[in-house]
Amino acid sequence: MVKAHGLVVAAAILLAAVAQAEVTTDRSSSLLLFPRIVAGGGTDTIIQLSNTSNNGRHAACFYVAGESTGSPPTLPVVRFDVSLVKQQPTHWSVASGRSVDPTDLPCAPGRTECYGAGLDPGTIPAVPVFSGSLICVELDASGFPVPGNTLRGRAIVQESDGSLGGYNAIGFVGFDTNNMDDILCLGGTTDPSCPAGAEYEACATEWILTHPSDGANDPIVGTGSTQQTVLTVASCGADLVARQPTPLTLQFVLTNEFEQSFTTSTTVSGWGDIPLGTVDPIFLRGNIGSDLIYTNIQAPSGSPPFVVVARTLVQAALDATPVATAINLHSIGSTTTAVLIRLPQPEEGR
Amino acid sequence: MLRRANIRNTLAAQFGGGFLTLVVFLLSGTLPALASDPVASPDPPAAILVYPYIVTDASLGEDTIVEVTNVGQPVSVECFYVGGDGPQAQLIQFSFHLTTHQPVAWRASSGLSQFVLGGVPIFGVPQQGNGNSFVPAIPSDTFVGSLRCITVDGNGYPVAVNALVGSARIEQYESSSPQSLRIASYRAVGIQALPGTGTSYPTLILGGPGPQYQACPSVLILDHFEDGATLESTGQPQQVTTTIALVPCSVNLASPGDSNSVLLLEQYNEFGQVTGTRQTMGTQLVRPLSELGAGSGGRSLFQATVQGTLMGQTRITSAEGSAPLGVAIESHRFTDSDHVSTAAFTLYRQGNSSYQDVITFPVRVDPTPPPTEIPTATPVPTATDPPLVTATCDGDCDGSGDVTVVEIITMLNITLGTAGPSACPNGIPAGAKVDISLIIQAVNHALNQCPS
Repeated sequence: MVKAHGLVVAAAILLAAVAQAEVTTDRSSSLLLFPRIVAGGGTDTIIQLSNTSNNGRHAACFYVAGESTGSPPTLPVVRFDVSLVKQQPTHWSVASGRSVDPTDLPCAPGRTECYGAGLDPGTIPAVPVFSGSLICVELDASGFPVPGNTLRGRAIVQESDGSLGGYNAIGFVGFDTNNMDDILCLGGTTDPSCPAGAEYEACATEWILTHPSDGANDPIVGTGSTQQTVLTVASCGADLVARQPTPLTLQFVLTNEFEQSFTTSTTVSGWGDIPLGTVDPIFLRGNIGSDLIYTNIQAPSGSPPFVVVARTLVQAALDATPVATAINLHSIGSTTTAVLIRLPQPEEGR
Repeated sequence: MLRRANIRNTLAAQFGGGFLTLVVFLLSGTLPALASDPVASPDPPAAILVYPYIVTDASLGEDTIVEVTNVGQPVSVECFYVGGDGPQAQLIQFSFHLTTHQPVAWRASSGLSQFVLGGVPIFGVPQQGNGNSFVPAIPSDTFVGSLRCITVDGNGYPVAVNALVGSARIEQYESSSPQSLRIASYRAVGIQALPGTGTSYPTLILGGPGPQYQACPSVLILDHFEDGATLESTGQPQQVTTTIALVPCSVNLASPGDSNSVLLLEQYNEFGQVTGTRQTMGTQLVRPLSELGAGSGGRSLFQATVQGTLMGQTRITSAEGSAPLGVAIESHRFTDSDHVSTAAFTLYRQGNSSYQDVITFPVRVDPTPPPTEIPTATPVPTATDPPLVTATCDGDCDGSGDVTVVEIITMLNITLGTAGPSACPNGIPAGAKVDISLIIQAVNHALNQCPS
């Protein structure tokens, strides 16, 4: 899945003035991307989804598998619909799903195991084994995309070691230009696929993350501990009809604490976990020469943009189980050409 | 500071009792519709970073790793820890300078007495180093407070430079058997300076009339599991509790104990039912949800057994005083093993407050000088040229016994003048200059091996 490119090339790169980013992780939106959803093998992901408006809202959600299967190979996509009354929060476990069961008993003293209590958002299929991403699109009552900007999401990934990795879904605010067709236009200008121009905020051009160098001691645990950072990357655009993975190229510019810069790159087939230490040895403490790295991640010109979340694994000792913590990256800038998300037609499951 | 006393009296009056069920039906439209704000995205680098929760507790092995990164050109940063409340409020002020794209991190309990590029000037450019940079250790074993960092010029005056991103990692580590480690990370809240508006001193204006910085949010939203909720994800039953840490967006750093706000917390459960409570906040509010909104029976409205569902959405607004900013720390206790895992997250911000919030700087004081005795537990290279040791292997910058590609690149950088000799403390023979012959020698050592 991940293919590291060879030699590190040193470069002293001064980035230009910072442009305003468009995607958001802490405001309500009409399109949510969850880059890392896993289930099975002792892991599970709990999704929290909320309607922040005073009206009922609907959404179509799609689990998009990270790897192709079948012949010809396509990405398995699982679609389900969600309806929320005003201000309603809901949640589900990816592995367990959530059924519509009006007889679910509410939580009560002595009954705190009450999964399913509350207004069920719809039938959410169980996906016991899964690695990939989740896309949720706000719809009107007739099933057409609308720019209500009322959705918010969060994922809590339970790792097999019991640790938690929580991150906010990456949101794209919708614009009133939305023509409600099956092609969602993220950024860009008017073109045949996007006759109304941008319908949602653009994808980010750069993601930035400060993280420990691989193998650096955890400052609190101290000597003998190690840290490792893993990115999960997913394509910003998606064709849920053709369901083909989008080859992604990630260019990294690393700056250590001594203001030395290095570059490297890697490729991913649509979705993947990327332990930074496997991309290039420059991410290792012994090579980069400092405990901290400021990493800027971009797609090369003309290459599809992506979304990213990160997690750091801390191993207190050689024989200790790593403990994970997740964090959203900051974004800078936005793509100037439209990135598309193509939804299935109704007969295709819409 | 503009006060919000008497604002939203009608709504506030409804919350007069601490624990009051307001509405128990789904579609009544009692709350104003809140438009999202597609313009002021909070994710980009900012001029002000707010870390709502910084904690150290030596007895519990708990500490916070604070990280700040400059994503732009060299910039100075003025930071303020605020702990305690009322007359006991405590302010710790410090400043540092960051070079282009430089990340820095420190443990709250120990600070950072020596920055890696601590000498000035560096490479002949006075503003390129970390001169006069110093992060003090929090001087008590136990601290619960917040941190604000603001971009300033070389004289300590605020500048509208949106160059900072930051995060905090709260860890609790017990080395004794059974060893345990809990980690929760959150991103600092960024507040951007507005283009073309300039800054002022000693007050920074956030939103409202004549804003210099982004407005504070009108609503803060917490999506949370109800306290005591039992989840069975991955087949392991676990009980969830959540602690919130809120701070006022406005703060008078000259007198931080004066902060006083009244917050309204409206909670929607998974039935769409809404309940509410009100809560006062001084310099900070750190509280488990289960201790908020307790009714006459002592049970909190944030408990699963009170709400009847496992999840809630709580909207936090200000009825009086400053708008809040905040984070939440979620703990999952596995009932089979008693193991606890944690995660933290920054609360959602919705809308822009139409009121003016301000941050007032304290009276200027001379910068705290670095201590004369610097701990040397972790030797780090500095920008000032250190005495060069006699190299046993040309190019072996870290003294590891071999020469890597990175070390050769470091030597190239030294030759080009983009790095100083201090970047290769062990790989340059005493008195030698880094030139092509030395680099060739280093390449030979990389291809073969260092002389024994």
